[in-house]
Amino acid sequence: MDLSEFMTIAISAIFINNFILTRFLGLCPFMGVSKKTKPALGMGAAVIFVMTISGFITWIVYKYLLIGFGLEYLRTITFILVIAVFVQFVEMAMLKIAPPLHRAMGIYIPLITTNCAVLGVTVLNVNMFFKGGKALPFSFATSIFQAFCAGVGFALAMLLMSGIRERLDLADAPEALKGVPIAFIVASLMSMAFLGFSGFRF
Amino acid sequence: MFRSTVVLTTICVLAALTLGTTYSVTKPLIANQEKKERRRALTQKALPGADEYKQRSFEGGEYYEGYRNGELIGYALFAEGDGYSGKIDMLVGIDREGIIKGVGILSQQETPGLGDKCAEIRPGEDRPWFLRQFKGKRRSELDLENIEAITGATITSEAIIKSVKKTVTEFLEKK
Amino acid sequence: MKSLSHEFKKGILLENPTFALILGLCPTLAVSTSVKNGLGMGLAATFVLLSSNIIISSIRNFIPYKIRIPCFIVVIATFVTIVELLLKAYLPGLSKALGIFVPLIVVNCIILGRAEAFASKNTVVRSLLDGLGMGIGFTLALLIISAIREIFGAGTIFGFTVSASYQPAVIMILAPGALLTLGLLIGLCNWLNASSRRRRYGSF
Repeated sequence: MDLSEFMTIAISAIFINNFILTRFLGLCPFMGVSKKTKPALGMGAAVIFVMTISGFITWIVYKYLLIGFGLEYLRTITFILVIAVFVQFVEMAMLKIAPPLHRAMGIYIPLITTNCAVLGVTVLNVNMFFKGGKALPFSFATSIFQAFCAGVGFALAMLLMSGIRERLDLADAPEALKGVPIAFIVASLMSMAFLGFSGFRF
Repeated sequence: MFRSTVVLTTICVLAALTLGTTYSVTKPLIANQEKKERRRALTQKALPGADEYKQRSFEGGEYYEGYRNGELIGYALFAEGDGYSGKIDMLVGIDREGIIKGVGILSQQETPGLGDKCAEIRPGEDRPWFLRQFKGKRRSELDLENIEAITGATITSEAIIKSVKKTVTEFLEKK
Repeated sequence: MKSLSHEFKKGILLENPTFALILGLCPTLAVSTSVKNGLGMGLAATFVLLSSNIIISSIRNFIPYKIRIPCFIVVIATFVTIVELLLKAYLPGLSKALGIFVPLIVVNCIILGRAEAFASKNTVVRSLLDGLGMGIGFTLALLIISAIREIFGAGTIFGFTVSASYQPAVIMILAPGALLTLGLLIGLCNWLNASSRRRRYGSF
């Protein structure tokens, strides 16, 4: 295990296989929250946090609970419950500990539960770092790291999109394309740009 | 509060029972599918033409020997490549000199429409065009110059080529 | 009270989950690379939607409001896992083609959305029709998008070559093609809606 494997994971999750622009995970918040930069950044930060910790918890649950009892087929239902419960805790904790933070970011939190990206990265971790019912070496570190990088890639795409959309509002798009359609077309151009990363190897 | 716990627990228990039942029904079928897949990869893609296969193991893992009329015609090795979205599992068939007889993909999770073209069969053909290129090649010919990559899926293509080469090399050295 | 046939039909056109409600985008874009995949995903999601709508509607009076979301999630995830297992057992090719998006049906906004907005507040029969209509609407949207992407991106439809001399534009199969197709189609729907409104009420 060397550093280059971590670099590959980072570059892959953030650029080559960007969760939003290549894998199409996390599109609903991408379309809904990316209109202005500040909420986009907030959502991005929240997602990085939830994804990383979810990656951590689901790894432990998968290795010790599911594999331990031969219940790998319960992966989907367990993971989504773990994520939902964790997100609920985060919301309650935020309300108690930092009410201003909750006022600013509170609405995004429940949205993150149904964010395909969070469940997506946990399932991806299992597919990539577990083989034949056993964990590959360093899978703990690589799983958490991949979850973190996926979140960063998500936040990056959100940030780029919000910058563009703030300007797009002032542009004179055809009536039928205003709003969601033009946002998708812009996203397709961004996705094309990110395709340029495909050959990049560390 | 109490009622909430009871309701949620009941639902979870019912869910678990339903899933447990479904799983026990489908488990043998799924295992069967995987066995069929492996059998098909062995006999049709990696090492066709043999009438008898024996499973053996060496320090690198398990492999198959193929016999025709009692004579050893080649080996089938398990290869594993690092693809885009996970591991690509393959079965590589070689003859006694180490020339590739065929490659079959056992499982992959590459991007649909892109990397998963490694297993794509063009209409009118009987096996994946990408994998067909491996047949008849020696180890030294396993690179992107001699094998045409999948458009838009360089990483998938490279992963397969590299892992096939590595597996064959390691096997022949250890034998 | 809206008629029963309305509950069924609305999901197909007026409130089409993909083109009108803009829900369930992730699988729509990711698996619409070929008509076969699109159809498979549409049917799998419809099965889950239908089953979860029926169950959630039947137990809607027993679920305390505060824990409704976790309850919905457990029900939906159960059916998704059933679909996962059935696909692996009977249709392994499709299971592999749809890949990670089979378990992701559980966070398909359409299913949770209908559970929250409809099934938890309506009778079983209505919820069944709602689920069926939405599912068919979703599948239809998937088929249209897949057909466009497959024809332009691979020159085939359902695996059958359309024209031998056509050089496919691979980008349609790749990510940008999906976003572009969806954007243009939603724009088309907006335009159709606007012009039918204009016809009915006249321009201002």
